[in-house]
Amino acid sequence: MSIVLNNIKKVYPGNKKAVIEHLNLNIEEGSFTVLLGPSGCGKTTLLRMIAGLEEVTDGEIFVDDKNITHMEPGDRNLAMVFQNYAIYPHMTVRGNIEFGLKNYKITKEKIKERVDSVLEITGLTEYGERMPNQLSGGQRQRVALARAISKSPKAFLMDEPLSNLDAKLRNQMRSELIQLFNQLDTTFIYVTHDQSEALTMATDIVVMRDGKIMQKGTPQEIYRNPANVFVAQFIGDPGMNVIRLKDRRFIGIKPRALSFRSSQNDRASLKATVVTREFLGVDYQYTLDIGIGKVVVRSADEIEIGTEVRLYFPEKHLFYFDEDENRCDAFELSEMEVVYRADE
Amino acid sequence: MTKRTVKRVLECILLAILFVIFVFPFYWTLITSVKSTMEAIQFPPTLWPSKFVWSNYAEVWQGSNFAHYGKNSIITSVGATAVTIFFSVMAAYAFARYEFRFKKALFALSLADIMIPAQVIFLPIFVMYSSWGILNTYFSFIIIFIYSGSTIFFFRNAFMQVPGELIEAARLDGSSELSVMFKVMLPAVRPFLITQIMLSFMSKWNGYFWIQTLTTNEKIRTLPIAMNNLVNQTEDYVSRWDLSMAGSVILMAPLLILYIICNRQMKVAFIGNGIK
Repeated sequence: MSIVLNNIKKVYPGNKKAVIEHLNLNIEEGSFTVLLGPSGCGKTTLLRMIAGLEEVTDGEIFVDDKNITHMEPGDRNLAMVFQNYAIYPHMTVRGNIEFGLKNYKITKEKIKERVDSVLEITGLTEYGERMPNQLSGGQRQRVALARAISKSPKAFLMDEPLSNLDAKLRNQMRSELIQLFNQLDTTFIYVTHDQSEALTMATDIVVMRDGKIMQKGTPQEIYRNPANVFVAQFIGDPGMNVIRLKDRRFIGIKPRALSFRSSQNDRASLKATVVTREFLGVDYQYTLDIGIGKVVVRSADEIEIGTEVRLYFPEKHLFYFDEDENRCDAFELSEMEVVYRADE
Repeated sequence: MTKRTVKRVLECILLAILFVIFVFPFYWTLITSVKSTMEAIQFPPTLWPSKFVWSNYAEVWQGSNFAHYGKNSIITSVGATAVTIFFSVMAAYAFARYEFRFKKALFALSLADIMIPAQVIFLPIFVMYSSWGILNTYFSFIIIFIYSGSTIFFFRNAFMQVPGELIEAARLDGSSELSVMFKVMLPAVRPFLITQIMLSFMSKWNGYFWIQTLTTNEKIRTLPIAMNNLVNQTEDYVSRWDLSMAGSVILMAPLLILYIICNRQMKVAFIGNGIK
């Protein structure tokens, strides 16, 4: 099922400023689309508008060419998984899953059949009669998922569903979600501010900022080919080093592209001074001053603070951005004293 | 003795004093209810009845027509409690979950009810009910409780503690607003609901003022009125304390049983930690 958002605008009552304006987005059928962005970028609002929990101020939402903009949430045939699970505390696990199905006038036998099958899919078979307060966080999240799956919805909407889990469980649930996605063969729309979640799970990433879409693409495209300064700095851990030049244009390079040692590919180099060093276990994260700004470098080499070094990098790993912060063609770097090694 | 032991002993003494203050009258009522008429007024009083006169209860039940008053008590208390809770829940849900014009002003107005004593408004209400011809009816006594500011306030606060996502999940599950309220919200605040039912029932069961005000004959009068008659009753210039106390025990019994049943839920509601 595809979802098309057409010129969406959202203004919260009592506010003058729109949180989202002129937003157009096409979510393809069977995609795992992640809405990614910092808090307050409008990603959750967008998801809630698709779910019908938030009024659309202007614009239209289509699901499979059907206009659902003003439809009741319960009639949209979408399922949502909330950050805090939102499972009914006074119902058993089974009761939680049945509740929605009963509203849709499905026969008792059918309901039982479906509940049993989703309990099995989510590994909750033996917990059917438990109350939510007898379950762990991960199990509660599974109940929320089971409830969503039971409705066989046209799309799953997920609002930071893993952010209340501890790191280990989050990784486990992440791979379970991927498996579930492959198994169910429906559309997933997933909201998160965690780029590693986005990169690992998504088939499509929509990077948002201030209610606008900054870039849409596959994780690889977003990671390798950021369309603008925001995406470049937001994606990656740490994000790209972007330095503003005197002519108001920008130059960027990823922390991992910079190295203290020269190698076959690194034909260019520049002078730098080590400012800070953080030990990260596998390697160190350095901040270096290169004269016109600061850059971050990840390296296993041990170098003292204050040391003057040369940073080597392959020239083709430089990213160029124009005055409007969008990607542009390569330009001459007059401000930086880049030394190029002659071709052998 | 260490400082800690001293503190502990003082605590015990204080608790013992409180225990006597609260429990002794109750004990006194119980034993007096089974004393003979003369032993009940004897001075100095006995702490244990010399003879158990269980027939006091039968005498009260039959002699004072407690069955009639008891029936009225049950009808009016259950009816009034149901009406109070139902309408308060509806109003509280709106105050807690909807945005509408004059919401704050209306809520403030609804709280004003707590501050206006019944004694101030009983006369206009009496005149009004009298002109409608509904005095001496169950309806008049039940309808007076259709509105309760304190109950609305209590439910509103309870509803506001329920995470909004629960409501949204229910709406996505295809529930109507009424179904959200009765199948999701009310069960989610169950300890509060039970406590409010209990408190509301208690005040109606023990209520004296309105039933006295809105009635001119014994047709729908309730147990507290019967109790009053009992206390005023004398036999050869001797007050029948034995019968009065037996009546008191009969009046108290349903509330005590209810309290024992709801005890745990009420604690949860008062201590908090009800909804997670």
